[in-house]
Amino acid sequence: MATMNVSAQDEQDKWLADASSLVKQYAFYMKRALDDNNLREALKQGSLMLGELRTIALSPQKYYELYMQVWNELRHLEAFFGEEARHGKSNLELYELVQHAGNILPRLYLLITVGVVYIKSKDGAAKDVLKDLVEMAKGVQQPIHGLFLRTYLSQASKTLLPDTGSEYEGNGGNVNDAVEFVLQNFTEMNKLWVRMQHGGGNRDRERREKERRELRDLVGKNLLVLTQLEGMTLDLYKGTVLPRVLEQVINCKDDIAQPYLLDALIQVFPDEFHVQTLDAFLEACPLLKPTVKIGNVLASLMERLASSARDNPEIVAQFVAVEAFGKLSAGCKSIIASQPSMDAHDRLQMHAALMGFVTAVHRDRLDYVDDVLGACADALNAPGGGDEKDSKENSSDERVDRGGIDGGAEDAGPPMIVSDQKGVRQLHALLTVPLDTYDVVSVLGLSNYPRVMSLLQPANLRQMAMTIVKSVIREPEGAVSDATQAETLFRFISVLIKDREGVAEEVDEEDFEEEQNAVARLVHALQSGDSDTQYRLLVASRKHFGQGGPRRLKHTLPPLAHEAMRLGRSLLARARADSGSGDSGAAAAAAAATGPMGPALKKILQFLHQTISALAAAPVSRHEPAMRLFLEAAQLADASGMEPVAYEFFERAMTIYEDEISDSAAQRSALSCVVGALHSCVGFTAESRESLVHKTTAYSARLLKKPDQVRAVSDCAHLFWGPDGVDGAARDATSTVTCLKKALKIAGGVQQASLGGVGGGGGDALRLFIEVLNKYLYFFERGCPGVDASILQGLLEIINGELAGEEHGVAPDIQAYYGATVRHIKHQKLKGGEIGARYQAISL
Amino acid sequence: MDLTYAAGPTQRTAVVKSDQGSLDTLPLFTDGDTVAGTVHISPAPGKRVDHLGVKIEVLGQIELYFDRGNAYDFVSLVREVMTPGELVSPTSVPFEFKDVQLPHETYQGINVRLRYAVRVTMQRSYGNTVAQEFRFLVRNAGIPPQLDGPGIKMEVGIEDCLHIEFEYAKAKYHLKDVVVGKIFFLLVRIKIKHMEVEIRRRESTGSGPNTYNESETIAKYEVMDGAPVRGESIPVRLFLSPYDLTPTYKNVSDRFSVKYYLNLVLVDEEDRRYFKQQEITLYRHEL
Amino acid sequence: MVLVLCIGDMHIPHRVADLPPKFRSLLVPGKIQHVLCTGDVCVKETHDYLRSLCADVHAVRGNYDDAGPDGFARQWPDSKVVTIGDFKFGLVHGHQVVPHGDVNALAAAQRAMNVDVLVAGQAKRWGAHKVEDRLIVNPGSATGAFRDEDPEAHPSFVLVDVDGPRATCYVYELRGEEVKVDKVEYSKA
Repeated sequence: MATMNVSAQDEQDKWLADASSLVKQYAFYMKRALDDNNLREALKQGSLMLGELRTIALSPQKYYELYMQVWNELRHLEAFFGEEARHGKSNLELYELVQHAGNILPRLYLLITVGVVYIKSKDGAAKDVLKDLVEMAKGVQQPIHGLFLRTYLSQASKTLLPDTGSEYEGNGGNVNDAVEFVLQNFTEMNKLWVRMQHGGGNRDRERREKERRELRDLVGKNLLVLTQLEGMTLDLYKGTVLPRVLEQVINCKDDIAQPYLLDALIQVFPDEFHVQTLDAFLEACPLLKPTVKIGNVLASLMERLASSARDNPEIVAQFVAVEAFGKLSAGCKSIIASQPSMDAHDRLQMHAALMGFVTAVHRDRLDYVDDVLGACADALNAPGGGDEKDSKENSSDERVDRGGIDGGAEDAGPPMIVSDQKGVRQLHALLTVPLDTYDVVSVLGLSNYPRVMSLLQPANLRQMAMTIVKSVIREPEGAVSDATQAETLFRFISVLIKDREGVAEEVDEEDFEEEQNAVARLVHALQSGDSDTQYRLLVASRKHFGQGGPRRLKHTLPPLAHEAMRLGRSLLARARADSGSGDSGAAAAAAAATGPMGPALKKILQFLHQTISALAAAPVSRHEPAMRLFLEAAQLADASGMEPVAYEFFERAMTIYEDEISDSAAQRSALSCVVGALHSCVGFTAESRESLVHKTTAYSARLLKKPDQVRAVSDCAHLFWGPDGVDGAARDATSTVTCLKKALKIAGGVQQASLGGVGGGGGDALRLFIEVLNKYLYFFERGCPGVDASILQGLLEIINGELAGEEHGVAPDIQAYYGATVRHIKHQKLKGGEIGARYQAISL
Repeated sequence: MDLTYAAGPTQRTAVVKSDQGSLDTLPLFTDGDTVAGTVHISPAPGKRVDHLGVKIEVLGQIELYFDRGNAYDFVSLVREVMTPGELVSPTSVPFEFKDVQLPHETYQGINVRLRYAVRVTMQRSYGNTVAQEFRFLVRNAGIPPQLDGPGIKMEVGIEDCLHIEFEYAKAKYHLKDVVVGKIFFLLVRIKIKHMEVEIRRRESTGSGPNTYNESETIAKYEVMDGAPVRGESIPVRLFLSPYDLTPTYKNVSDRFSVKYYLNLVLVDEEDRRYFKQQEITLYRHEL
Repeated sequence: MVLVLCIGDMHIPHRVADLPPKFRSLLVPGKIQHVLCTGDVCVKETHDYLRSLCADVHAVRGNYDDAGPDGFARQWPDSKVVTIGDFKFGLVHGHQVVPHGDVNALAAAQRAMNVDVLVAGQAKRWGAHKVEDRLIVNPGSATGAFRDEDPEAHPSFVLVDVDGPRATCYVYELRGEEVKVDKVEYSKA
């Protein structure tokens, strides 16, 4: 078959070449005759030349090339016609003379050419000449000949129309005549174009349709001419143009012409016109051929109007005034009713466009959105239509989950399956647009939203759920502000939160991570101004997340815990403000516990306990996050004056440490967190505190690497000497000193080990000494009793000794470290005041 | 011998095609005209011509081609312009035929011709005659018969194939007229390639049982290119002036008639021809 | 001019949902030459975002970063020293420095690392401290993750312009809808 096409193409090229060379030849003789001012001869050669256009062998594309060649040559003839002095005939005489030509096609090309001159000279009234030309052209019924002839007519007459304000207005007619002329030409051209469909047998249908598509703009251009008329007013469009065009569109009963022309109408004429003529347009739609995808045309119109509304907000008032939405909505329904075989894609496209219209034009009408969703759901036979609306509260849950049939609308048939890529994309877009435009939770609450969503196959629900989550996250804070809203939300995204019953879902790892992270971020969007409500929100979320299984818990519980702590802290802040006991310290904590916020705080802490424990217990969880959370919760409990709870949290954290954290780096890191948390606590009883501190120091001393031990133990010193200025902070100088000594001792051990040639260089020990020295300095500056200059002096000497004694030289960074420390001491000496005085005791 | 007409340069003339295809310009007269002029006779230089008288005739005759030699003279007027005598030098003699009846138009047809001439005859001794004919044309503009008469409108067809209604605005046309009409397609089941209007001339010679008809196509004028569908109306506008037409001649001296027809022809893609012929009356409205 | 972005403690998605849009529009690729991230980024997505800003991104482990065997932060060190221009930058999250947020403790850590500028996280809000002849910079939380604990802990980050011996620190803070910029000048002796 391929070879056939190639040779057909070759044949076409050959025919065109032959015809073209003949045209060239005749044109040469014609121009020679023109030079001689020989009218008769020129007409004769001209006719012969135009005769080449009588061919029926060429494809439209090739014919077009020939036509253009001829068109160029005709310009010479036209120029000649215009100069009466050269040929001696008046325009009227010429007009008759050319009609003597025996063959109709050359005759009419010549006639049009004379007609142009006739009109330009103002001898002939534009409207009369044009009317005659468009009428006489009816003699050419061969589609391609006729289309190109009328194209010639259209092009030639474009600047000669008796438009409002044109030089041809007046005697030459007015815009009504111009419109009449163009409409007639259009009508005839459309008839010819449609006729192309029916020549030849079925085999050629593809080729014919391709050829038709190549020529369609010849027909459509007439509409363009109409819209470009100065005098084209809304009244003229409404009263004349639209009815005539629609009439032709309907009567031609052609699958290609109907959608093309309607679409051309929409694109070419201004939106103001469309708004005011919606009724006429919509009434025509059901009258089209049932095989025409009128949904697409209507969608195109709605998209155009929506886009217009976005660009010019002023036009929205017009839309509202003509009740555009109501009409479009009714139009969609009636089209669907009249084309029961319309497929899901087209139904979706229509409703997507209608939704686009609503969101662009009626930004405050959520009820319209619901209407569109309802119409779409009905159109696709989603269950739950009509009389089921009242029971939306309890049944939408099952509907979304099951996506199944529960016998809703009357005789609607089974729901249409939407599972291919394109359809899913359309549905998804339809559901997403309102989320982007309106408040998410309100949209989710619309009665028809779940109906439309239920049309998605389970595999695609995830994507939709993600879109919903992302929309909520994008909203300003407080989008989801009570438990009911949260329940609604969770219902819609349940596919992300838990596995479907009995279905083991295969999800890509990365996608799963992304989903869970999104859900985690979602948690922060649950904000209510009222703490009771906020608590209920947390509880509701916890309930749903709890059903998610261990894979999900490690993602969803941490943010929930943080939100709970956030709530706790806000209650704490209120408690402190109410009690006036200050912002921190034991007294404030006690006040909080006993104050009106106390019970609420307790509830929160219980919630935290339960949540973090669940996280810790989940088999795939890592344990560090749970441990950190316990530590933070402990600090919250401590600040709330709930000592036993705080203790319990520390215990849990330490249990995790003992049982689960075995990597030494992780241990080191974890311990510094414990120290940091414990350091800030103020509410423990002496025994409790001692117990915790003891455990911590024990852990520190038992770290695997000795250098780590040194650091951890020296950090523990802070546990005995709490933060400055905080009432209830620990102040145990003796234990502080003991702790520091212990650290020093271990450092000494490191040094010994290195001397014995066992592990580590001397550098390690030296560095450790300097670190401990800096720790000592910290407490020294704070005036911790027992940490006095003599100890420091002693340490300095040891270090100096080591430095001097290093055989292989000291590493530069240790040098620098020590140097910086010394500089620090010097700097403090110069400080003056208490600190300066204290530092005087040290001599370097 | 030569002849000049009184009107001289203002003499009406007309151009006709000769038998050989070339164009002749001849004097033109109409019924009731006075045919007047001057005869010029010039003997050969130095010669003396004796004659028995010179007469001049206005002749009108009809000649049927299959019966040549048997021309029928329907006009024959004679004058003697010179008495017997002798000619030594070029001599011009005037003549005049007043208000001559020239009832029929000159016609050059398929099987018949009607001609006019001025014949100058010089009678010589021994029965010799020298004669020369000077042809002239006659055209008669008639009063247009029933100017606003009905047109032609007719429906015609072939069952299940083709059904058209054609209409011509008038039944009677003058020679510079335009045939205006339209063809309306009621049923189209054949594949039409194009449609044309022919002007046909039918010449009838003889009369009664001996009538012989012959037609020729004077003009072919394409009015439609391509195939229409049911409901299409195709305009016709055919200018008669470019064509070599004569008025309708009814029974010229009981010898011949010339009638004209419009023949509407539709050609289908297999080159089959469907046609409908309709007589029209042509008349001359001015000279 | 060489721009160094000091940023960290995003805590996405555990404490907050996202980086503030106003910051996202300021921090675009092609403008910054180095990124020093103090950690507690929390998820790979956020780290990827930082990596999109420039080629040279340094990050250290925070106490909430996943540094487990499959964690995205498993390669991150606890602390790092980066030389940029004439300056040595030290980068550490800060949970390892006890007491948390204590400037003196941080100064001691700075001495140990021997850096001109110590960039540390963990603190609730941004801070810049000149300690003797050195600078300690805390860029705060880029997402305002600690705002519930400290109402003044607005979202912030620091952009350091290193130019010869001068390092000018521009502190970007999002207060309400406006981004306020503070300047801290620091020169090497």
